[in-house]
Amino acid sequence: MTDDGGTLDRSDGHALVYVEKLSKIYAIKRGLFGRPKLLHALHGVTFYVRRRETLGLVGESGSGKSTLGRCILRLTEPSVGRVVFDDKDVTALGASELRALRQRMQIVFQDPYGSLNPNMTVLQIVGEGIEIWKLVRNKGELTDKVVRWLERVGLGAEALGRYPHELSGGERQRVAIARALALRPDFVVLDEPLSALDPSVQAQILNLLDDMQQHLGLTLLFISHDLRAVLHLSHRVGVLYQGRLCELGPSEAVAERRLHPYTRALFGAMPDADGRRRLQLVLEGEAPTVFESGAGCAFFARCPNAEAGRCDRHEPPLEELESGSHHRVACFHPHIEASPDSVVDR
Amino acid sequence: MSAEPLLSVRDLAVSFEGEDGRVVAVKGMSFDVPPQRAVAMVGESGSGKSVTAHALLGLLPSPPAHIDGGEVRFGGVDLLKLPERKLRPYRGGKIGLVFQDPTAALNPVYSVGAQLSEAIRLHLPLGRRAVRERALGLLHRVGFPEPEARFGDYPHELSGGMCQRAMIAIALAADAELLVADEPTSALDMLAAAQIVALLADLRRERGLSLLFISHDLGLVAAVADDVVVVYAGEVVERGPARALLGHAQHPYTQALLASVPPLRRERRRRNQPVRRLPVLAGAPPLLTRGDAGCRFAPRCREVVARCREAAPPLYPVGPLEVRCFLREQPRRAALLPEVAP
Repeated sequence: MTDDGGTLDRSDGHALVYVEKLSKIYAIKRGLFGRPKLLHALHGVTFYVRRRETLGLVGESGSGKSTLGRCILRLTEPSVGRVVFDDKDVTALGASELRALRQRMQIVFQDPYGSLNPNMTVLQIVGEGIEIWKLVRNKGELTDKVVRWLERVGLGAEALGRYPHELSGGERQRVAIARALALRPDFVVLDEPLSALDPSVQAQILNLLDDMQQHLGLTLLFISHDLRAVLHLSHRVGVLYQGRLCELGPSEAVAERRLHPYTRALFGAMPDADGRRRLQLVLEGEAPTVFESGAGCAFFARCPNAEAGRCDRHEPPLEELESGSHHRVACFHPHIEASPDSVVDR
Repeated sequence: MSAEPLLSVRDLAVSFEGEDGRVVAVKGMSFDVPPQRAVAMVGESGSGKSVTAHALLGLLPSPPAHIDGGEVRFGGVDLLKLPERKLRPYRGGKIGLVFQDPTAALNPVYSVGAQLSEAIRLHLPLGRRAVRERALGLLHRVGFPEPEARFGDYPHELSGGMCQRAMIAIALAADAELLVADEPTSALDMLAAAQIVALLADLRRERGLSLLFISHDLGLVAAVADDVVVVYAGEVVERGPARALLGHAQHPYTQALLASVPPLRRERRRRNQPVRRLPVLAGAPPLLTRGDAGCRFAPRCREVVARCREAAPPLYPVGPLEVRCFLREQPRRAALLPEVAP
């Protein structure tokens, strides 16, 4: 994309995280002598996250959303592009500088059962980072601090000596959140923190995340395939398709207008329990794996609005439809009129 | 529900032998699946939904599981009384099964085509060529891409959505009359989940199938179900037509489940402004022991009164619904029935 510069809104001085033209390319080997195929997991992704804002990123498996979260923290090295955190270019930092920054940038993973060491107690899991970063002077202080964090996330001191397998899924996710927040980070990436949880437990975790953000002044990047949860928690939401942002804007604007045909398809897949919004299956089949990213829109093959000769030849830039709306879409034929069912939302 | 049910579960009770004694998972579970209707079963993890589905076809490993009582009648035959040998024509034959995690339910060392062919051979006396033809036809019908070319693909080469389509084809191998789908979408993305639900709805109409759809996604339930059965702590707490139940739920538990789903918010929210809190249902379903008195939901219920802790409520009729709650007991005057959409 050539006009990414225009999509980056630098006018807001409160941005904590800038992601600029970020790409991640994997070489997939084919046989012993075959030329490797290039898989574009991320392709020129540009956005910012303001201080104390929750930015939601929604996308399906393979959309690159987890890769994006990992690249921002440099748990995975991006191939091209920059990540700027609090005016520091994260992508240019050496190992020791990066380590120093890690305390301020934390991540909560999808599967707390997989990301919590099964041989450590809750005290050890939550306390480990506190000790490493020397946030306490002695063991007594450490226990006190861990207990305070457990209480903040809705667990009690009785959890201290327990192991991950003795906790429910919701309790494990609370431990993972306490572990991340105990380091007093400014920025937390939440990578599918709700999947594998019951809806009633998801609601508890959503409430907890919002409480924590309000009380601690956190900046959050909330990554999920659950559009409903993302819209609920996030101030703004970005929609990822095949490693590209196809729509980005204030949550209420995206929910109401659904400019990109892919966004519209996601809403159609999300019927209401009371039957007011029905299941509308717009897309058949699955997203193809894109190798050797070619010209044209990544959504061309599945798009109901596709225009041959244009959409397959040129890649639509992520631009505001109306300037000043902060609602951007990467589409030559966006849906202009509001979705007919968007008016019934509560 | 006037027609003779195809599947009728009565007073099913299942317990598990644990290190600390016997744990009751299902107790007094009763519901029907009428012919050609889709019944959804909803409830939290640990409510006994999956245990019920597995118990129907003798799929619970015993020990530790033990069927303590009840009946599971399918077309008039009590499946719980059948010996293993006589159960086989039902399991995967007349009753097709689709599970939560298709990548785990499929055998990783056999191709999708081989597993589907095996399922067909097991139930139908067909020759090789006919088996393959039937297999290809089924794969084609469930929207499996390029059935001929991908007949020999192994499960790990397929996406979750494709594996689930293959599972549905296997469930239909022998012209099932009832499809039991146990959380068939919870391992899938939004679009793949919606596609699977639409496929199940189509297949049901087209083949006159009955469907028992177990899920905790209430939106998808609304999209596919005629009737809904709400399960809590191993028993039915509310049941009735889907529209009426999901639109005007009467049981405090069902109401709490519905309220915990985030609404599609439209108002603009500023930074530093908290989101509207979701009403939550704290705690977890209880572990049942033998001497339980009172309503099983009472410890978590917002509307609990003294009576709830003393006696167990029966299912009361409330309009088109049946509700296990003392507070919804209606005076016998039709004029006082609440307005519930048909």
